[in-house]
Amino acid sequence: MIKLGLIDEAGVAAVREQAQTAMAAATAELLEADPEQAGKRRIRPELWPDPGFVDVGLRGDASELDGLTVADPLDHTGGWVDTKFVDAVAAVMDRRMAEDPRIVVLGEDVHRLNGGTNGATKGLAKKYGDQTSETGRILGTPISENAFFGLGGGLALDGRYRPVVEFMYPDFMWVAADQVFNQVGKARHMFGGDNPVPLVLRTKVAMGSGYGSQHLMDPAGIFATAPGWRIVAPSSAADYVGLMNAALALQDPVLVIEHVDLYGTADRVPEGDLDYILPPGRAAVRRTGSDVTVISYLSMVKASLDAIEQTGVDGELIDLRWLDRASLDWETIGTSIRKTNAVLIVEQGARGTSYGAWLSDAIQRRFFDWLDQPVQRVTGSEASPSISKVLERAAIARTEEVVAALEGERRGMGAR
Amino acid sequence: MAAVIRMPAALAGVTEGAIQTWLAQAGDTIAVGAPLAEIETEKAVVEYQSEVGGTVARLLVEAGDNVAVGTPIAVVLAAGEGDDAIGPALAAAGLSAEPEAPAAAAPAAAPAPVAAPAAVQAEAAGDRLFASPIVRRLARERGIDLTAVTGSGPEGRIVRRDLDGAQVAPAAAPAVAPAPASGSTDVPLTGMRRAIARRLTESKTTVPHFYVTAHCNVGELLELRKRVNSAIETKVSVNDFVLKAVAGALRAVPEANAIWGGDVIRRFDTVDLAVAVAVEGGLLTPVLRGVESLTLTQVAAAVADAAARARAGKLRQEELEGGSFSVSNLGMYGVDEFSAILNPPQSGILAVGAAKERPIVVDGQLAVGSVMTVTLSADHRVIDGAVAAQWMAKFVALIENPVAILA
Repeated sequence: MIKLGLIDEAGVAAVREQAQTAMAAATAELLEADPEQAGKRRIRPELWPDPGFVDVGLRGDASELDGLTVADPLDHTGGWVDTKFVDAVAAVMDRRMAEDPRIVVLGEDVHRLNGGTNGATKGLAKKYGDQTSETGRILGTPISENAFFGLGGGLALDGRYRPVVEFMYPDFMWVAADQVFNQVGKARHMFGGDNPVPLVLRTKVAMGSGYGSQHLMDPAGIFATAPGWRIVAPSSAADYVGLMNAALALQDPVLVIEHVDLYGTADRVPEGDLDYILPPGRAAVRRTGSDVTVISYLSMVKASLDAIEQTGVDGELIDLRWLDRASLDWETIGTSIRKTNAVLIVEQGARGTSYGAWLSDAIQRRFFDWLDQPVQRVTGSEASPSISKVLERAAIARTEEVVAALEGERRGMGAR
Repeated sequence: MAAVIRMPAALAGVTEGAIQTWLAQAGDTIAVGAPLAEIETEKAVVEYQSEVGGTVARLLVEAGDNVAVGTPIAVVLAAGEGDDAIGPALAAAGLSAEPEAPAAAAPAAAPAPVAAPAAVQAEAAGDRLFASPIVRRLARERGIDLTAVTGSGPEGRIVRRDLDGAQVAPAAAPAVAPAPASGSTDVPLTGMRRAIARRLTESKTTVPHFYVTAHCNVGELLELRKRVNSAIETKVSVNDFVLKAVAGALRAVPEANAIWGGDVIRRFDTVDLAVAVAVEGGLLTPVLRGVESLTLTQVAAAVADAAARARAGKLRQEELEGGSFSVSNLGMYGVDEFSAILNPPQSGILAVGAAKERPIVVDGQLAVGSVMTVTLSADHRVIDGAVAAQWMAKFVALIENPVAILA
């Protein structure tokens, strides 16, 4: 820098002195003479935190949702508009971007192919511009998840923007694991809980699409190990609207899980309303029953419903909607377990990264005295789904696997 | 080596026992054979004598606690050992019990055919009772005895549905209503109370009872008793006469001196009679042996001794076993008549009321006489109506002609 003429020797000395003065001032605030060891200093005892502070600030308290309009599609009495699920995805993002200029979208191909690989950002680039424009908000990125997710994390910490990052396939979280888990997932807690990280990560479960072992995971189980993250997994378009609105309003990083099987389904949303939120702690009972509490999310909600009808086992089906520890609806789950005394957790993906493992642990801990048989789980196989159509099907769970598990529940109930 | 004392099988066939009283305390030095504790089982209180000598280091079970046979109840230190020997001894007791567990569990671990959830006896895999958590919770709340429930779940596990069945079954224990805030008190069950509840429920619900009643003119008997009691020192009671008359009737009608054995009827050569003795908290039925060959005064002495020891909790188990017949006398309470529940496996019980002055007919004329009403409860599997009638006729003949009893 001296060679470039940006600073001279005296300037360097002045910067050094400035830094040393600042450090001395800081240590003078924090340290005192150690009365037990002459000549040593120690941190002033009153500055140490209370051990009870250990988990403070893992996430926000969601008070930022206060005052927003809560509406559960379960209770909607007005009119409905038919829509494809994926069109509701694009529509609610459009609605929020129109209302909130801070929102920017980052991801591979989000600006082209008429809304990315599946149409989830359809029409947005045309309306809000892409990375070629100085004011563009739909930013197509190189294939570099760690980089562009890190960019999103920085934007969120800065606070002037509200980044919505898309991972084309959930498995790419491993590429970006440092930014996803080590930075964004821990940032609020690391700095005392006072700096919010408002970021939305969208990704789609693609089991059944044939993209093979490195593209077909369900990320819920892994994200559930990172307490800074909130997780939603909507099973319907109307839930998606409410959950995405809540995700975009929260001051925490939120993973929004979508599923390719749901994108094309004919669905519906409340007429003329894309602004309601579904706050944390709101599961939905999709079917009431007395034999077994079936807990699921995303596309497996429908598979579970079909399996219940096929077997005739009187299952009570709970659609979790919010999946992370802090946002789970324990009241709905507990009420159901006290009634049925049996639990089946249904998910589609590989056993190793399964979401249900921690949930079954928590359930047996909370409701041991209410269980009539072990908590059972439907998952995929050990292996990641292969590119072979046959092996992919064998590696994942669908309705047939839920049917088999419900028959197991029936045996577990004993004889009439 | 410090010794771990385990709850003994104080009586044949018992599976659990309670320490009624510790007769030695921690710190006491005891010799082999010294009384260590009084152990209460369903049927009796038994004094347990130590099989080891040394210093009682620790009592592991509180007085009143009911524990399974084999449960460690105390640690006794050998001479020269200190308290530091307690831990290793307990650990050794724990360890020595361990190797059995996997062996017992092994058959249960074998994969069962998944599609065939046949009802399996819940205890098939050993002593461990397999019941789901909600079943244990409900059993606790409703007072259901799970050992009586058959599990229909995987590996014979008792599941919620099995309990729903148990509730409607007639033999199931009635649900205990939650205690209201005031106005009632729940008294914990003693082993004896549990035994009475279980055995008599079983008797009344599974044994086909029928009843035969007779009114006995006991004028002569009362007169004879007065003369006997004025002549000799031992006082005999009306009940002693009744016992002798029962024995005489059983000798005369040997078909009645028998019990139901499942696939046989067992007839007895001698007359062993159980006498119901009311004790604090319940009743006991000590058995008098060979009553037919005892004199009246011997019967009186035997009854007095058995009753005294019953009230003191000093009866031995063998004194409570056997017999084909019981006598239950509530005459001293002024009861006119009643019918009794058979005391399994006995096939007869005679319920004896008070001797009272009542109108009787003598030679076609109304008169006042002393009448005692007795009711025989009989097990119809063993005793038919005609046999019961013959027996009763013989009994009445003896009671109304009591000199024959003395013969």
